[in-house]
Amino acid sequence: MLFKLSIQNMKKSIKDYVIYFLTLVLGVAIFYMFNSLDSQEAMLQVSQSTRNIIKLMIGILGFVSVFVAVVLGLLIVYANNFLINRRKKEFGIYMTLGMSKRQISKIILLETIFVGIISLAARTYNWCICITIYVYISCKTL
Amino acid sequence: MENILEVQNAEKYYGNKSNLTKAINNISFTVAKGEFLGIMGASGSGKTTLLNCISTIDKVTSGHIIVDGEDITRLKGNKLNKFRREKLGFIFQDFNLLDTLTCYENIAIALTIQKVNVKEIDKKVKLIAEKLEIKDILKKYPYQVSGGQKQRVASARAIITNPKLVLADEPTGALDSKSARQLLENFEYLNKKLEATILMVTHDAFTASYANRILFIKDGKIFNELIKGADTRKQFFEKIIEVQTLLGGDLNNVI
Repeated sequence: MLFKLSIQNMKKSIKDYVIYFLTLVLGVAIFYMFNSLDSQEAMLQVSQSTRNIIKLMIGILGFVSVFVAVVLGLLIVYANNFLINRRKKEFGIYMTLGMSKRQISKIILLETIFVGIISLAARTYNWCICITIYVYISCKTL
Repeated sequence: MENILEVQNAEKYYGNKSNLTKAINNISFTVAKGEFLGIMGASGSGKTTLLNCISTIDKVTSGHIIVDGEDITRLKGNKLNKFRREKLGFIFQDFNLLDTLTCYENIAIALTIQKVNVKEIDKKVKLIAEKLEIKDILKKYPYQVSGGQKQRVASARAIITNPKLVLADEPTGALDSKSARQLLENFEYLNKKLEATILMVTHDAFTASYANRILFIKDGKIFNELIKGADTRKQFFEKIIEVQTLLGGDLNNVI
């Protein structure tokens, strides 16, 4: 029953998940871009003088990337809360029927695993990390 | 007779010291087994707050609520879940069915959470569906059936676990008069034949006239009590209207 519930829920809230994923993918992409700037091939083929400037730039970028990481973290928390909030009522029904928080967490976990499998199929390596974070946060929020 | 519900000096305050609202102001009453109790009152009189406190959704500020010998104001965590699961049945104004499941599954989920085996669930669901005349719609989804049918599915879900107490918050609020009547007749059936104890909150005199006993609440206090006794429903209805007139103090609203 729990299994079916999660599958059905996922189908229903697929739109929400799409928004969620687009947000995360965009966020992760930007983050990746920032951090991989120094290992780009184009960066390695510049003259000595420009290399020094680039080194300085990378140093600054290091700080900026911390900032970006914080923003990204907040974004994930926000996106997650958004998803949970949309379904607050549903969880409320479960609880009035006497479902324990643990069981509700299980439903969310199952759903996330399904979504995770789909994402894996899409071969996006970065998403794995997001999902682990997501599972962690959803268990925490409840 | 055995008391299913006992409310002792329940109080519920909202706000802080400078701006205190007494939603429930020292209410005490008892509900015996097999009773069909109606709670009436104007909006803002605290009737829903009272129901929320009894249903463990909300907590009382002081006082005790005892359901089936258990003080629910002291329950926490898993015990609270267990209590909700086994002793309470809920019926809401806006049905609160799960759209992702069929009507059958909506009814069955209450039992699934209790880990009853599948065969028994099937038997019970079919039995209750027949009684409430929703057998034909069991395979449909909630958004495919009418409001009255939805509410009957919801009441089936509430009653199937055989709870000690069924709590209904404005169950006819979203229904037309015909479905409302049908639902209330079902309530009567549940009450008389299946001996369910029902506590119903409503502001509608007609809905209330199906109950055996009615408590009128005004400004968080019990204002009056009516017992149906040997009256017919019509006589009872007229009495309710009378009390309501007193309660509201506005004669112009009653024709």
